[in-house]
Amino acid sequence: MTIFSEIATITLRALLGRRRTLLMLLLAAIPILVGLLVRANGRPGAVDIGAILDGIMIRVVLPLVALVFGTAALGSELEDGTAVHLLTKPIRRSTIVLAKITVAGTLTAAMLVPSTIIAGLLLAGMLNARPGVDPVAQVFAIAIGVLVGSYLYAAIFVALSIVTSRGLLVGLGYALIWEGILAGLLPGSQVFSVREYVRGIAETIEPAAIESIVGSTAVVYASIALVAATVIASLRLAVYEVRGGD
Amino acid sequence: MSEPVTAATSAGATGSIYDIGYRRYEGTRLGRGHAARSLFVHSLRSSYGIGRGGRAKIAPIILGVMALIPAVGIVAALTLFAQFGAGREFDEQVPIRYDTYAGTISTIVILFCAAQAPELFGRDQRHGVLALYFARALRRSDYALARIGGFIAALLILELLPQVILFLGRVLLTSDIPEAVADDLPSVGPVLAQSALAAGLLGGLSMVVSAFTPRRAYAVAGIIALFTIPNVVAGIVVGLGSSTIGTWLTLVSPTSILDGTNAFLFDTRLDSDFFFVDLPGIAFVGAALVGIGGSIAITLRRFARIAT
Amino acid sequence: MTATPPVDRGLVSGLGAPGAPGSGPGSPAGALVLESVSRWYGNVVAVNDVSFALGPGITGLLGPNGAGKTTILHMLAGLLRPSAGKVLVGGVPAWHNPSVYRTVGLVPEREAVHAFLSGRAFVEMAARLQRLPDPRVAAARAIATVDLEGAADRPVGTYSKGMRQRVKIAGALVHEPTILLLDEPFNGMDPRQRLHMIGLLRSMAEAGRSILFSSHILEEVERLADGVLVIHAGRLAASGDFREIRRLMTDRPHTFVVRSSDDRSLAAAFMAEPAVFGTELRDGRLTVQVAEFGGFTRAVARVARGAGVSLFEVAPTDDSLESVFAYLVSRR
Repeated sequence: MTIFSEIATITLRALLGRRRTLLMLLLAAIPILVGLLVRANGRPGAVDIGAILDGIMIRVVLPLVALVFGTAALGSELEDGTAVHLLTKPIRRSTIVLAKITVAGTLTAAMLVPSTIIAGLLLAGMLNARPGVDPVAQVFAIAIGVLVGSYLYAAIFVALSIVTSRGLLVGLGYALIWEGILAGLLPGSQVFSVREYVRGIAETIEPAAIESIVGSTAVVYASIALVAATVIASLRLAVYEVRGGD
Repeated sequence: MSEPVTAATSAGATGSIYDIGYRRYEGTRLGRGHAARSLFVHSLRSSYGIGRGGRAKIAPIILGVMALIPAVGIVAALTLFAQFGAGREFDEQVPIRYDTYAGTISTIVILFCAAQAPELFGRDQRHGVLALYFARALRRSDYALARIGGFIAALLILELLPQVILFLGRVLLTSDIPEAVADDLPSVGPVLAQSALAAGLLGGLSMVVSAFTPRRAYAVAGIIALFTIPNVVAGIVVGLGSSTIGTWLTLVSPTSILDGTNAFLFDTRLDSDFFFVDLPGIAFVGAALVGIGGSIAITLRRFARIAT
Repeated sequence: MTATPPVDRGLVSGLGAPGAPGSGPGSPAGALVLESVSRWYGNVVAVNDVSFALGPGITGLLGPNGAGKTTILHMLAGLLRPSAGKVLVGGVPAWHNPSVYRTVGLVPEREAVHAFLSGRAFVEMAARLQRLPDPRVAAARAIATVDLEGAADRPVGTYSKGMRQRVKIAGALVHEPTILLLDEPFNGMDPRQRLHMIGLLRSMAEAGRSILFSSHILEEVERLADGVLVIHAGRLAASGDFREIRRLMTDRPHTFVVRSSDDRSLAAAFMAEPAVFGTELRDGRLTVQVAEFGGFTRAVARVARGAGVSLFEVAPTDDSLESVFAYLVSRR
């Protein structure tokens, strides 16, 4: 077994504690619940699948699930001391960071991509997409956006949890204030928002899937952000200090 | 110098206890009420990080400042415009008023709940100090009520302080102070009522979540999920048209309830998302009160049964 | 009955320069070196201008809680950056240098093992992360070394404190490091486990390893360590070999309590000795203050015989490591 998969395996086991898994599955089920509710509401009409998935999945569930997995993958281990055994091994810090990001991102995607597809197809089954759009293509475009977003959010939140011991709260502040309030007040700030990259990637794949202001440049922005977060996390982990006691 | 204490020897053990001046406490002992009040004040203070380390102050101070920014900004803008003689027209146009303030800062208040409520209940449970509280004159219910009360009071300050600044700014900007006061006075009642309902509902529910979730990370995520997800879901369903499901969803979403009470108290229209909800305004107030009472009752029950 | 004070007990030091290297066995080979190292957290100085060099053997890092022991160990383990000075492990800087972990093993004080792993899984993982050729065998050997075979397949969450301590030690030993750092290793161990651990660390030291362990319990350090570093309030208060330090320690008066057939004439006889500078008779006990520990212990029997007095008991009142420690600390 390589070092990478060794770290990945132990991280996966640590992340899949019963309570956390259950709570995250519950969160992942919410978009499906929305799909069911909308169906049960029984008013077929022209509704934008993209807008609904954007509102519940991309805006709320994706950042929340990625935040929990991203900060738990490394941050909570640094906090409770279980990371010390990793830090005192002759391993490149970038290997540790990459393994953590990969696991957190994969877990997020494994829960949310199916959820996106199921919720989207539930909506597509009864509602009309916007004219000239294939609803299935629309759903899959958004699911790919969610897939990329899972890894990108995970990378950012893993980095955040190394930089600050309150990574969870800072991450929430980023998602709610920066991507929420400021994106409304200062539309330009969305150029630096993961939510916008997710929308941009979906739009790149299926132009009518969803609207974004970054469009296909989202691919470039997202790649830069992913690399930057990984590099920053590795550099910060290399100089991470473990104090004794509390 | 005190006498040396020699080790036990073959010639026979020696041992003595020295009086080094310990004293018994002979004063009066303050009772249950005092203990509960102290805990209330402690909860209120630690919600803002007062009396705690510098790191514990960062989040409440940043969020507190952010809650003030709109009020301070508007007062500053009104002052500037008044210099150019355009005060009144601008005043009519600004989007940040008494009736919109609670909604404007609701995200900040939610983040404050997520950041601070788990500190109050979670730390006591994580460090296993509940037994120490319950060994005092304090009863279990006193403990829970004092903690909830302290947190709700902290939220009330967070809600009201910016509006006090808004009020003072608006009044002092005019030359005719009595008239300005008379203009704004009708808003005072609704502001107080809405702030109390918001602080009670958001504070009470965050305390329920943190009472059941000692791990901070889960409590934080749980509070955020509780305050954002039902709201979004209700918004989507209601946005598709009036329906029973939509109405019920609105009534289980804390933030939607507060939108409703706000509209009722200030006698404004609901946001467009809730345009189709066919509910009398008073229903939202009822839902908020049920939520507050319910969350306090659940927390009391939790602490009546918790093992220490 | 005459009892001479145990000669090999007690450490005394007036060792002047903090820069003086520890003179533990194996003389400073420089496996672990601190050169004028300070570390501060904001305004708080945790370690203040500490220098030492340690070679193979067991060294105890002794000091009260909060003295800076963990900070020193974590700097040696490359987990903390020294604010000033140099920390070298095996000749290379410890900070920002993960390759040192090939030769270093750290046993931190805090719980540091995932509760869901079995002891064996944890140690095997450590072996694989060290890229050992046969992790299974290495792990089994490390587990046998700490005497944990019986519980190796249970989850660590079910372990007692002492067992957790041992599984952490197994994890730190699995790659047979030449340098072993242990933070309060005896915490939570029962006396039998302590004995076993003492034997284990001794045999590792005999195999030429450099072992540094911290403790705030004097008895542990006294029983186990060849050399000792006494740290107080972030400064090195004393360092070196117990006997060596005691010999160097001349400025500290010792007090003995003597019981004999005739305390009064014995007191008079003692006053003629150059090693003695005071006697006191109180409550039927003779207290003798001496300037030099060794001189008095050699003279006491001779003086008693010369005065024709039978000695019943000669006991040092304050020669435990505890009192030396209190002395060193109060002098600052």
